[in-house]
Amino acid sequence: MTEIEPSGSSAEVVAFDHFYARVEPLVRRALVASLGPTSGAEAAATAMAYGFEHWQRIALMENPAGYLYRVGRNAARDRRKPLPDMVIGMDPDRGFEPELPRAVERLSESQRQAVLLVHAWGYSLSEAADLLGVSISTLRNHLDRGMKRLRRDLGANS
Amino acid sequence: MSNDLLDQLRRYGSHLDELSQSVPTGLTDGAVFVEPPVTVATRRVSRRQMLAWTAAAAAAVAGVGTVRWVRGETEAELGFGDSVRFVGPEDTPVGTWVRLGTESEALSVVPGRAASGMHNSLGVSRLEVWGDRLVAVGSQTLDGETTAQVWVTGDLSRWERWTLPMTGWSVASDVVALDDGRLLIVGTSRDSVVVWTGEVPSRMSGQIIDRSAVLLSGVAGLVRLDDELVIFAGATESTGGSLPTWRSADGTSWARADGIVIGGRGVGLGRPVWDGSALLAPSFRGARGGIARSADRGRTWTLHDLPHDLDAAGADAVAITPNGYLAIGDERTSESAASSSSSTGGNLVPVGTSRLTAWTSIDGMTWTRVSVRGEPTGNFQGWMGVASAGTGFVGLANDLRDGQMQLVETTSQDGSTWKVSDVGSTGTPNVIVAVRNGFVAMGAPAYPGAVSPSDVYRNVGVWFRRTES
Repeated sequence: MTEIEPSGSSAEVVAFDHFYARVEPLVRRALVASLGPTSGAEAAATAMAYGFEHWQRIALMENPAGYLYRVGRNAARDRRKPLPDMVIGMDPDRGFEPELPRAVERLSESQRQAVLLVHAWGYSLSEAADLLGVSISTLRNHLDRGMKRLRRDLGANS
Repeated sequence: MSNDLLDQLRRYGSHLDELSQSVPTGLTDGAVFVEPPVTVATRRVSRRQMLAWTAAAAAAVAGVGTVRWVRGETEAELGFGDSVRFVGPEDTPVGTWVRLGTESEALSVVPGRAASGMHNSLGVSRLEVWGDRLVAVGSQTLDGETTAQVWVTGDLSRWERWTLPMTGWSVASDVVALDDGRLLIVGTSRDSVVVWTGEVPSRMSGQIIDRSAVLLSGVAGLVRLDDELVIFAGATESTGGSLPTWRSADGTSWARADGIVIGGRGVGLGRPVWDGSALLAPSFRGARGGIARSADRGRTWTLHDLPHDLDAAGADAVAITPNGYLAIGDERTSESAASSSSSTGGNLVPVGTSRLTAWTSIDGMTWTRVSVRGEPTGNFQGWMGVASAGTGFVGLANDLRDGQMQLVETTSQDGSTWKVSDVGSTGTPNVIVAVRNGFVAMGAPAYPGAVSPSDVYRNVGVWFRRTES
């Protein structure tokens, strides 16, 4: 079926598709860390759609992933869900301590982002700090405190 | 312990990836329509967002969910950040028709192509209940090529559409859900009559059952007569009163066995209905219409007149009632065969008068005229369709008022008295079916004469009207 190209040229669409493949996982994971898997995925979809609509401007940015992360985070701000739901879809055979999701949920948002981006998904401190718009030392601080709290909460079980 | 925690976090990260990717992501093109109170259109949105919008709209009208999406504003193209409130279930009273758009249809819009003279279009011929789903058949014209289509939905919010396999020009006219779970779709491909069968709409197989049918007006309908399936041609042969039919016991092997319409040279037939002992169908020859009836399973037909006050009358459909039969149609003055209109979107100009009319009959041969009147009364009215449920009949019709074609609803408990009321929507829904919790209609979202041809039928409109449980 012939596809529509509602805005922008074919070249722009192709360029955006490449950008999407590279950046979407990073933006989505950061938003999932902030908001939980459902709201985070929703916010990431909104952010990436915004990215397409404003592609000409986004393409020239130094840190487009960080910008789109903030778009997604702001879009989710009016969703009245106070806590991320990090434990949905749990089943006992996932290979991690059943208490882990609840312990992650209890972390502050900054700690949760740092812990998950760096240790769950393997991003470098520099990549995670750029995305979240904080310094490396701030991120390391959140990471250390988050890990310390996780160890404390899970201590007996992990 | 530390390494163990890091390992667990990595596994938890994979788990979160799975959860967050388990819903459709990526971007798509299309539009969502919710009317009333607003039409929402957008350009490129996230696929997840699109589904959320349509699901929210469907949930609102079905009363099965809450609506929390806030986005979109007017009929114009919208940017992100615009906002509007979808009407939630509490604001959607029972009996309100709400038009829903569907993602799959919106995806077929090809801006700019139509202007070159190609009338890209989607058309629905028939809508049927298939188990716990709805199935519709029709055709798509895209870049000059017309192909038969089948749509399926389970919830009105998500529709899937497939092109039925057949080389060259083809249309699908009717569909029947067989007892063994198969779908049987009938249509035409140039001069051939085609039957598609299959258990899964995405894997239907096409079979040409008559290569030289040369039908004058396509297929009128596919009717199940107890132990026999019969396909009726839409018109008798112009040189005689023969009405081509194709019969099958299993939907696989078909044989042509023509019927005879007495005095019926060049008579057109609408979709027949079967009440277990007789077949009845709308009939027409030129501007005059009546009812055709067969008491021998379609082998011979007799024609019966419909009484009318104006110059001529014609039936659009026949339905079976607890007390006999109902026919819906219109009566009209002789000059009202068409209404003239501007093809550039100007006001429609009525020529003559056409009125909604219904007829009832106990035996299918003698018919009594029933007036269908209501508060909204223009001077050019035509039925779009009617469906029956336990609570009575619900139909849709067009009413030309002040140069604009309005969609009106017609309701009746027994077919003998009718109430007409405004729907508050426009469009040309041409098929309507009763479902457990209401009525669903499909058709063009605009009146064909009211907009430029390039804009007509780009999408299929879907209307839903909830009934009291």
